Amino acid sequence: MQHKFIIFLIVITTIIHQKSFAQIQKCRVYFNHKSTKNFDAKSYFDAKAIERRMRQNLPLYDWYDLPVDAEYLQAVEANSQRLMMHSRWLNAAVILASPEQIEKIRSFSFVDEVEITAPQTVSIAGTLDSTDSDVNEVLASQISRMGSASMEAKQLNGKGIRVAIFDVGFSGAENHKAFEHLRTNGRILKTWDFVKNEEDVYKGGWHGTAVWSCIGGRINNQWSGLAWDAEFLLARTEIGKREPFSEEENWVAAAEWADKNGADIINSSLGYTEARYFPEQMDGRKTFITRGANLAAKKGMLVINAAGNEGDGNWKIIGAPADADSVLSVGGVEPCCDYKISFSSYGPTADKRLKPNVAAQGRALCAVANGTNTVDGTSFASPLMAGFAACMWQAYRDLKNMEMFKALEQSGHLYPYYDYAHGYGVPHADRFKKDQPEANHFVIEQDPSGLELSVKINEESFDPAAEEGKQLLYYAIVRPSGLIESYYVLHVTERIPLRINVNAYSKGNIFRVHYKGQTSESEFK
Amino acid sequence: MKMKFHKTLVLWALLPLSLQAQQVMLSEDVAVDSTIAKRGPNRKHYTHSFMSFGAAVDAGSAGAKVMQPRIDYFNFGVRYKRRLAEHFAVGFDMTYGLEDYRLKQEAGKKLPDSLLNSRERMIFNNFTTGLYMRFNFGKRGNQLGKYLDLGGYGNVVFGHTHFLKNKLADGSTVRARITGLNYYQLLNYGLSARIGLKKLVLFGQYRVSNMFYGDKNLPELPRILAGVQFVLS
Repeated sequence: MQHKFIIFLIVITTIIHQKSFAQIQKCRVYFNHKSTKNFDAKSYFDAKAIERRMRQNLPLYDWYDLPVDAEYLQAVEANSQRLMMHSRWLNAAVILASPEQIEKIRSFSFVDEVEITAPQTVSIAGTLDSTDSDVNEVLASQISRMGSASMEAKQLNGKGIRVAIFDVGFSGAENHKAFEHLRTNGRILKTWDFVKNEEDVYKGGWHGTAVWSCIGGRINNQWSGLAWDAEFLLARTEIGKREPFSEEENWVAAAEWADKNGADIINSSLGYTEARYFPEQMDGRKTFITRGANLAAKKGMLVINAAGNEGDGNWKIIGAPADADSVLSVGGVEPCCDYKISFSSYGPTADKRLKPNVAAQGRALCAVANGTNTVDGTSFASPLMAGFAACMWQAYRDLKNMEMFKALEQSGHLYPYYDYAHGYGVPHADRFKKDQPEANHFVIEQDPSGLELSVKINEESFDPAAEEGKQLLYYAIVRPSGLIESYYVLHVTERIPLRINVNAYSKGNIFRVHYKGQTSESEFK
Repeated sequence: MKMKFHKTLVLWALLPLSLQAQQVMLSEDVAVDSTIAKRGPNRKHYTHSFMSFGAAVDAGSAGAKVMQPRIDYFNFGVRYKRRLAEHFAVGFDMTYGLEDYRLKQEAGKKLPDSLLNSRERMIFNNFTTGLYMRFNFGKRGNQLGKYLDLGGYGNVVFGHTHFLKNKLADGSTVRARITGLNYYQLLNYGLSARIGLKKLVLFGQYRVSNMFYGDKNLPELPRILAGVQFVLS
């Protein structure tokens, strides 16, 4: 009988051994040196990439652009089972190798570090179920709330801006009516599937199709995104449900490809959270994809990423690469009103930086494989923002990418107020690069005893019959360092909607309030 | 009364915000410190409940053969895991278990006697404590991931019932439920193994100890159980 159990143990151990303990491991090999010889930037980069560098006063190329040393790659390939990909920016190769091979590779003088990775599932910051919202209302508000009328009047439509989209696939997009104008006008410049290393990206799922339509699609004879005349580079980096670490490597490879091909903006509606990482690792430094995203920004591209859909889950906060300091992380707001849609992930980052940076509508009417659908997710807020950014960059072509980043934040409906649910709020074309008139809607009053602060709204700025969510007051308790301790959004139903007990807060902290475009603050003394 | 008044005052002082005229759409307190959580599926400590269903893998010794295939085993318990390294943890669990075997009625049957009945079942209720080592595979976040548990267990049988059902010549049915039996061991022990993928686990256990007292000369019921376990929370 004992023998039977031993056999049983051997069998299950063998099964696991084959599945999980496979002796062949996937690793990232980082090199410590690059050769500066034989790199011709002018032949490597697309003319548009060179133009972007010149416009932003960036060097034509830097150390990161230099290719990985071919000899290193050969040596690593010769001592591994397979060389899967390599990254110029991270000066790294991804290989499959046995423990013995890994040890040998570690011993090479030109190897800085070998990081062993393994397949894991991840959550894409993406699609939730479609809803029964009024379709036309959703479609109208998804771009109008960012000033589509104003942009149309100025003929801003993303023309001349090149947008790269990284996603799981673009099923159905090749023939979809929503992109007919882009096909007709030759606006789809390049496609590449980094998962299968082939040109066809019109497979793998409709998530990318929906995302793309939020940048430049046309649905029901209306634009569903703002940058409908932009140029597009479509990349498939996600594998789907079984999503291994290699997706991050695909993402970095796609970013290098986007850079080489002259992209101005990268939209990435994806995020990696609990399956791979801990919340404390969302500090803008730890993950491979975050490091790659920061390097993409260094090259002058504006990287826009969905904040994530974990707001009402256990994880709750933004994922990678939305944690990167140079990535514009986009949260979602309700279609009706300017407050956070429930699932949108919160900030701040693990090192307490502001995220998300801005917000856009978290529900959109999108193109899907076989038609259109209303879908929820910050996956769609991000491309709506990318479309807006493309139009603004068309208007202000001399802005550098991080100046654009800042200007987008400054055009948020809450700016200079911010919190970790909305960032600086939803940008609007009429606020972009424009000083806002001083508003006078409320005052913060202190009672004679000094124990209470209250917010008093002016009579003309208060509508007693305002619909729920249409008359919002935002307030936060902020440390002198800028770190928010707590924040709130109230629907105002009375002219004095808020009184706070001063003694409950630390001296030096700031009570900051935003209402209808006015931001005021008072320090606790 | 005075006490109540003081409490009210204290509560008022602690209440930072007036609730007057507010319809709160969003309220968030930010964790301003950088304390790293200690509890979670891939943290230092993790406790969860689980439930299992299993079946006898072997048919039992000659004279104590059981009907197969059949769900013979159910348990419900709580498991603690202490992570010692990224790929290694130890832990223990405590479970209530129910083993329910239907004995084959065939010539040569010896357990608990040689009488053949229309139906015959033996049910054991136990409390089990298990110790295990866990080997985790692959890089992961705060998730259980893929793992192999190897360990042992000991249990206390706190209840044993012998059920009999017989059809008589006149067509009537007689059922008997016999408890307070004196031939089973109170304590048992064995080895266990589990392979898990997140919250789904396949388990196997081998009972090393004999279920019945040696002087009773009774054949053994199945020693190997295997089945599926669900991590509940």
